[in-house]
Amino acid sequence: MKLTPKRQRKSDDSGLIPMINVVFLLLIFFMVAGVIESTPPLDVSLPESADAQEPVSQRILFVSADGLLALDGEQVSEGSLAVLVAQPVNDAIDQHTIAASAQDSDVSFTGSSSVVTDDVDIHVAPDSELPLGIQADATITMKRLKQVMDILRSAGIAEVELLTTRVPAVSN
Amino acid sequence: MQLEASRRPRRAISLTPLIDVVFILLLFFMLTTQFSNRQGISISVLGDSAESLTMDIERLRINLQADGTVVVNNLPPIAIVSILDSPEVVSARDNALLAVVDSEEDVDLQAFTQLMDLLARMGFDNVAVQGLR
Repeated sequence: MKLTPKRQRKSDDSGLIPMINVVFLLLIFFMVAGVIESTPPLDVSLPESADAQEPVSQRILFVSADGLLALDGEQVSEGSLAVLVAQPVNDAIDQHTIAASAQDSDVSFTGSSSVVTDDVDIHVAPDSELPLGIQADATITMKRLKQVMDILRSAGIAEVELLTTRVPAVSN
Repeated sequence: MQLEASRRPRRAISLTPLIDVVFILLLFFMLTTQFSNRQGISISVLGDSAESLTMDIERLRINLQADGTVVVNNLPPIAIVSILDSPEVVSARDNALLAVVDSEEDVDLQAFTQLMDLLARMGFDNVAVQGLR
């Protein structure tokens, strides 16, 4: 009886290499060209514009069609907006951390309260000078927008960026 | 003494698991990415009218009406798109005046955005919005 010779197992993957190349290219394209967006806290359909610029704002205030507000991904009340918008994004976290570390040092070095005070006094650098972005629904009235801007101005914000959806320019 | 280990034929690494991973990454990025079509209109926020009126600076005043017309410097109302040809607006642009936009309260944001968009197209880079009265 003659056994068939054991087949030489060769790697058959060589035919796949062009496909892998294409898939890698697609992968790189999507990684570079796309942005992963977090889901907006409020449902907002933006107004349309044709000739505005690329947006530069990083912190975004949402104003929904029924007038609700959301900042930093969370819905906020009108009353707390001025306070929240005045402090930098990471301020709340930083203050928490500093407070925690101050408590720690308070426990471990009782009596060195001056050091603790120094820790607390660490000034958290304010956000860069980028304007606050406003994503407001196209159907809200200017009355609402002015109310919001009034709050922002009372919080020391002098410049905002109204975010819009780009549409092709109408021939005019 | 001869070691036998080196004689073992080297097997090529299979590419299939790699392709699996790359496909999953590809799917992930294809499903999660969004191509941004956002634009931004920069606006200075002015205070109430009393504050801005006391400043004795020449400004272009544009008032957006609820019926979709605009009043430029208290002249008769014109359609929004007509500001592109309005001599007052053009000369204000050429003199780099600050444009102060006010609007009636029940104007919707789309009309306001259209006006700001037209001003951006004309080359105004300094547009302010009047706050509450």
